[in-house]
Amino acid sequence: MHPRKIKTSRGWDNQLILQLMLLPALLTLLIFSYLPMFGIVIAFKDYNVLDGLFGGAWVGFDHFREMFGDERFHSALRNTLAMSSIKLVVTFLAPVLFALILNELPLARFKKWTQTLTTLPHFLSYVIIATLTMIFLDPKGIVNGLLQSLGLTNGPIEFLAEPGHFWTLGASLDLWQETGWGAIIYLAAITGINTEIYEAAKVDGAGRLRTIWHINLPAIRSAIMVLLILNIGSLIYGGSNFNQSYLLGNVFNRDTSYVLGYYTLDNGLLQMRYAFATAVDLFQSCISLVLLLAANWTAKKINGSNIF
Amino acid sequence: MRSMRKSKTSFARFIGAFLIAGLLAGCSSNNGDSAPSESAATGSASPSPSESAAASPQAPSTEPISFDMFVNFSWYALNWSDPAAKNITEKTGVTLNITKPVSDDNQKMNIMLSNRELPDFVLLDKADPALQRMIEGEMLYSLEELIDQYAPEMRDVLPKEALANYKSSDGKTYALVSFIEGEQYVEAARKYNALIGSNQPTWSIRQDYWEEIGKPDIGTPDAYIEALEQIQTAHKGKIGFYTNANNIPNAKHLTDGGIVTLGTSAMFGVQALVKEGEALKSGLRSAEYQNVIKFLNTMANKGLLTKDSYIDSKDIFTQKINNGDVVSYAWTIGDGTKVPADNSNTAYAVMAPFPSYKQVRDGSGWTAIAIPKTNKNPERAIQFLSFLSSEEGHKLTKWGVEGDAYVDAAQGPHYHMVDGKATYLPEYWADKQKDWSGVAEKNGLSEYWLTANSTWWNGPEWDASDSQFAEYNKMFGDHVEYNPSIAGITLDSTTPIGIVEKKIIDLYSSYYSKIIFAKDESTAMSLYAEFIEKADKLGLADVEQAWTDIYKAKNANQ
Repeated sequence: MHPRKIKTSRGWDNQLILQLMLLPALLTLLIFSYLPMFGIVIAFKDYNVLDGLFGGAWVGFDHFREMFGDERFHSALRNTLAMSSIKLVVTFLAPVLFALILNELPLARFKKWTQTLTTLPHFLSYVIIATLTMIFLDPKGIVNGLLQSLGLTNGPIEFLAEPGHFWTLGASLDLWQETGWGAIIYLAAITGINTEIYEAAKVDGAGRLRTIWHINLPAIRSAIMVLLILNIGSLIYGGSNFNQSYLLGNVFNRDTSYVLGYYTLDNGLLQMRYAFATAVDLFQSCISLVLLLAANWTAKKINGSNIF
Repeated sequence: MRSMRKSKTSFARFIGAFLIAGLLAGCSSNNGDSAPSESAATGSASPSPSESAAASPQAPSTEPISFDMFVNFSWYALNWSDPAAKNITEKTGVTLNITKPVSDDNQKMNIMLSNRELPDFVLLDKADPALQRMIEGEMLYSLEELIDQYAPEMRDVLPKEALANYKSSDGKTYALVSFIEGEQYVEAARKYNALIGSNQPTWSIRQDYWEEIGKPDIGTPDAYIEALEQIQTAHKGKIGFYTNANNIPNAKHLTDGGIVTLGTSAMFGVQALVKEGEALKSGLRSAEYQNVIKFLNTMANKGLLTKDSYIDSKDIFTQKINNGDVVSYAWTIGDGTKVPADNSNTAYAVMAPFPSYKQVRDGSGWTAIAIPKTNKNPERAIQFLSFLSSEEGHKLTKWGVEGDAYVDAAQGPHYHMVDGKATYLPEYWADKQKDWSGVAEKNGLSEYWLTANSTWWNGPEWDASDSQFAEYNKMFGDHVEYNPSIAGITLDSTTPIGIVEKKIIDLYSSYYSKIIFAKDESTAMSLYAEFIEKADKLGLADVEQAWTDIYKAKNANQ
């Protein structure tokens, strides 16, 4: 028997087992992510629960026409994009800065505590966050009491009743909730840096800021780019937008708090108009894909750090 | 080395085989799950009862049989394992397997509908759109058909409205509605001073503040506003009038009461539907509604009404009242006498109604139970419902054990007869009210209300000698009206007219806060006129026409 042949057959043998181990994951993906995509067809149908996916008449782009002709849709779209963009600007770089600062802390124990405390809010249910927000920001609540006793404001600020405050409020909540959590990935990247590089920098006479600029930042640059691209891709879904809109939105701030997620729920799912809800979501998915590809393409052009 | 590699390979093989086996097992257990429902589905092809031999009215069978019941309420707590359930099973042979959804979004219900795989019973809100879907899809037995075949005695037991007021467009009734407050009920409730219960919507006022200003008359809106102004000069930080109306934008229909009351509950007598000749009009056009917005606008401009009422969640609402942060509030009799945390020597008191107070009840009940054609034994199913609907059934589901010497909630006895009416022993009723769900777990009473007849169900709780409630009934009794003809007038949200209705609700949501908090009354009224104009443009008149059509069709059917 030729020795080489034995080797390849054993290699194939190994491969087969390994490939089979991958199979469940592939099937899961197929069953739960790809097959349901077929359901998108109802966006183009007059769907009725009783008729199922295959029943119902084709209506072409009727649902989309209704959506684009709807004033509420336009206001929801505007609010979603505005809120997401503000959040991107305000909250995107915060975790990077936070990770860099945290990394410079000398006391390991203090650092650990800080990291734990800032990560915790990420795990709170939004219902709790919203209730706490409402209690603290009440006209007679603790925040207004503090502002007034410090003489910063005359009367109470109506944080929740004033439409002009809603976007800032949303971004601030995100900043508070996600900064610690977002820093984890950057901290991990920084921890992975070879200590010899730092020693070399020291020998070359680099100070703290220089070390950060020339070693730490480049080390996390690709992570920053990947997250930025993903974030831009999800601008139209906008992470916490729905939770904030649903739980903190009210009749007074409706002009700024009504976002697409709420629109879909309110006019689609709750009205049992599943086809319409699917149409709105399909629209969002398409925009999301375009944004993602555009961001990726731009990143590639600028500095070559694209995802795919 | 070689053997090690070999063992590694075989380990990998083992893992691979294990994972695949797990996957296959997953698939096969899926098949296993769907097997019984398939057989249930084929059950629908079995001959309808009218085709089978006419049943002779013999005593119903008590052979053990188990029915699957889907309860479309995520909060439903019981599972047929308590003493009440055991007693019912003993009497009827029926055991219920109760399942319920994880959340109240109709997801599970809709999956069952689209697969056409329904259990033996479905229990849901009588206005749940899923019920209409089941009827349209011809998935249910009609009650008349089953009752005439297998349980003719049921006609004498049910409140007469049950088979008269809930007919589908084909003239048949497809679900049995619970808690109907029909003629028989209203008469009995009046007799026992029980027309007004603890859930009656009312306004309350803080007694210490009211006494400080000499307890003036507050029986009209003007007198009330004047008193609040006086109180507020001494208690600056307090909210004059507080209500919980944050949920209006989530209203599903323009016929939801909250739309027109804007948190004033029944005080101004405003109704969502107003009858004008033969047509139904939206209450948003009515003079009563205009009184509501004028009143609220005045209150807001005098600083007696704040935005809190339209923002705060129910939790925060409750908390502010418990703290004593408000001078008066709108809630119910049961929650109308709270003790404020900042002064335990006083309490809120339920205010007498304004002359305009009017509550129109449709008395149309709450839940509906339906028997799908997939039911494995429709004969036993209807006989089971017949038993539960009877007085005997209510003894087992609600009244408990008869006797006079109370031991505890589990053993009873729970009730005795007073003047021919079953009445709870005061000791038991006190225990029950102290810990409603805890007692329910012990004895299962008060929980299996699938076919509750309000007269028999509520009867044991009525105590004509309760002076407090006698007083409340005197205060509010004459302000309550029954009008079953306006029940169930709701538009299907998936139809074009339903979409118009939703658009008007959203338009309203962008207007009412501006109307209430407008800088003066004339601005408020011009905003109101602007809203009505835009609503008409969206098709409010068409919505009203659709209501009128449903109304006429319903009343022609009866």
